Order: sequence, then C-alpha cells, then structure tokens
Amino acid sequence: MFFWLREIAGWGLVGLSLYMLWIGLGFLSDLSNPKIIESSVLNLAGLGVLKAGLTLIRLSTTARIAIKLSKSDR
Amino acid sequence: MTKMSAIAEQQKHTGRSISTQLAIHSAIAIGQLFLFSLAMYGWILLIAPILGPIAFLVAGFLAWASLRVHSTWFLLFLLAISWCTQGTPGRSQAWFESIQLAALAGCLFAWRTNYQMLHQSIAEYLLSVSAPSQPAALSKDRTLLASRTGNRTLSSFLRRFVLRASITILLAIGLATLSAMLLGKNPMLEGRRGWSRWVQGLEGSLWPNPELILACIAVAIVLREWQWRQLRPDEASISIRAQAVRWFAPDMKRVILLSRRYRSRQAPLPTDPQPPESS
Repeated sequence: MFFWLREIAGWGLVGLSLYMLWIGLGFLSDLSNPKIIESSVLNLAGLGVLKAGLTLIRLSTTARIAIKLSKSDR
Repeated sequence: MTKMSAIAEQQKHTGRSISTQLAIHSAIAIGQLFLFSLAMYGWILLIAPILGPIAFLVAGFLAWASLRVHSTWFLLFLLAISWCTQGTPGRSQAWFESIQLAALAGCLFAWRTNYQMLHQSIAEYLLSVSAPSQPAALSKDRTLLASRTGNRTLSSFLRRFVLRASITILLAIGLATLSAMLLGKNPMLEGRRGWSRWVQGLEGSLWPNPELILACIAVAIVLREWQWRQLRPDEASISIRAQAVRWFAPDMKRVILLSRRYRSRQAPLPTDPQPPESS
C-alpha cells in the first residue's frame, strides 16, 4: 500500500512538472518577444520536479518488485 | 566455489563466455548508435535548417538522458561542428531523404528496445557470479535464471533481435507515413523541400508548439517507466542496492576520509633518529 502511495505521488509530481514545462515553453511561443529568463526559471524548476517524480516512481516500482524476492526468502 | 569456477559454470550453461555476450551486445549497440546518428543528421537537415546546432544539442541531451551513452554526445557534437563549418550538403534525392527520415524513428525505437539487453546480460552475469556466495536466499530464482540463460542460444537471440527490430522499424515507418497522410500534405514524397515548406507553414515558425514537445516527453516517460516495470525481482534487488550506493557514496567517502584523518592524528608521530652522541 505504501509503495502505491509513493507511486501516485510520483506520477503527481510528473504531472506537475509537465504543467510547469508547458507554462515555461509558452513563454517562448511569441518569437518576437520571448521571455527567456522567466522560461529558464520555470523550465529548470520543472526539470527538477520531473527528476524527483521519476525517481519516486522508479524506486517504488523497484522496491515493490524486489520485495517479492525477500518475501519468498522468508 | 570460487569466482572462476562460477564463470566456468556459467559458460557451461550458456555455451559461450560472458565476454562474447557483451561483445555481441556492444557491437549491436555501436551499430545502432551509428545508424541513429546518421538518421539524426538527416533529420536535422530536413526539418530544422536554421536551428540545426541547437537542435543537435537538445537531441544529444535527450539521447544521453534516455540512453545514458556518453558517446552519443560526442558524435552529435562532431556532427554539429561539421554542419556548422561545412554548411548543408547539396540536394539529394527526395526518396533518399524520406528513407532517412523514416530510419530515424526506426533506429530510435530499435536502439531503445535493444539497449536493455546489455543491462540484462550484465545483471545475469552478476547474479551468476554471486550465486555461490549466498546459498539459500536466491536459489529458486537462480535455478530459473540458469535455465533461462541456458535456453538462450545465439540463434534464438539473433532471431528475436531481428524480429523485434523489424517490428519496430515497420511500426516507425507506418507511424511516420500515417502521420504524413493525416496531415493531408504528405511531405515525405517531396523530400527536404517539402518538409521545409511544411515546417515553415506552421505559423511561420520553426519552433514546435509546447504541446508537441510535452507530448514527446510524456511518451518517453511512459515508455521508460513501462520498461522499468519489466524488471525481475532479482534485477530489482540489484537496482535498489546500486541506487543506495549511488546516493550514499559521497557520505561514505567523507566518512572514510575523516576516519583516516582521525587515525593519522591518533597515531604516534615517527621520531627522527637521534644522532649518535659524540664522546
């Protein structure tokens, strides 16, 4: 159950990061007046959140699979 | 049982040494990397003639982030530099450019799906080597593993590889053709000039929409996570330990450094030999 909660939290973080990247890339859509600073800040923050979310998902998935091994050992 | 005997036992199971397996996988990986770079080069020339170098860097980062192959960076940098210094090459046949475009997607799929084999062979090797040192813990899995590796001969591996590569390349070509037909213009039949007109027709900009970029990132994430779920329990156990080592390595290094310093301070200083007293 705890793994699933972590995984859901990870997917939430991934969704949040995609939303941040979408806003960040939107700042660059207007090529005549691109807001590079605002876009860089949001994109960097979004990439950090994306990395955190992916790590959370990956670890919870791996732990969920690996725990089968420890249960079979017992 | 020693490590050498474990390797010998593994060779007996598989029929070929781990170095042969790794050499095969490495050769496939290098070949795919070459094809991927060639296709990427053509793709950049086709649809991003102005943003070529920037697109190379972005593509290099994405390739590195997804494949973890540092040589991808190197090759893409080389291509970017050659493109900047030599300019675009002369016009080639439209059908060749279209094939190049389709090859991009095919190579990308094939690379990504088959690169996992290298990791899997390394994990199997680690498991087979560490098998005798942990007697009862993983015996069931290792019996299963030994039977699986024993069944995987070179011919079956090649058959599976060709089948998977064919399916992925066909899928990629089909997707590219379908998307071009759905757009109603079919720029693939016109080669680079068609793609240039099509791309510049997108609101007069070569910059793709944010939604397109996000869709690509989301698809990459889903594919990657789906692949991660294919881990077996023994592989997942190794992965978790490797992650823990990666996280705690700086702390462990610092602890070792501090303890060494502490020991060197506690140890008595070597005294200089006293000169003989002169009488």
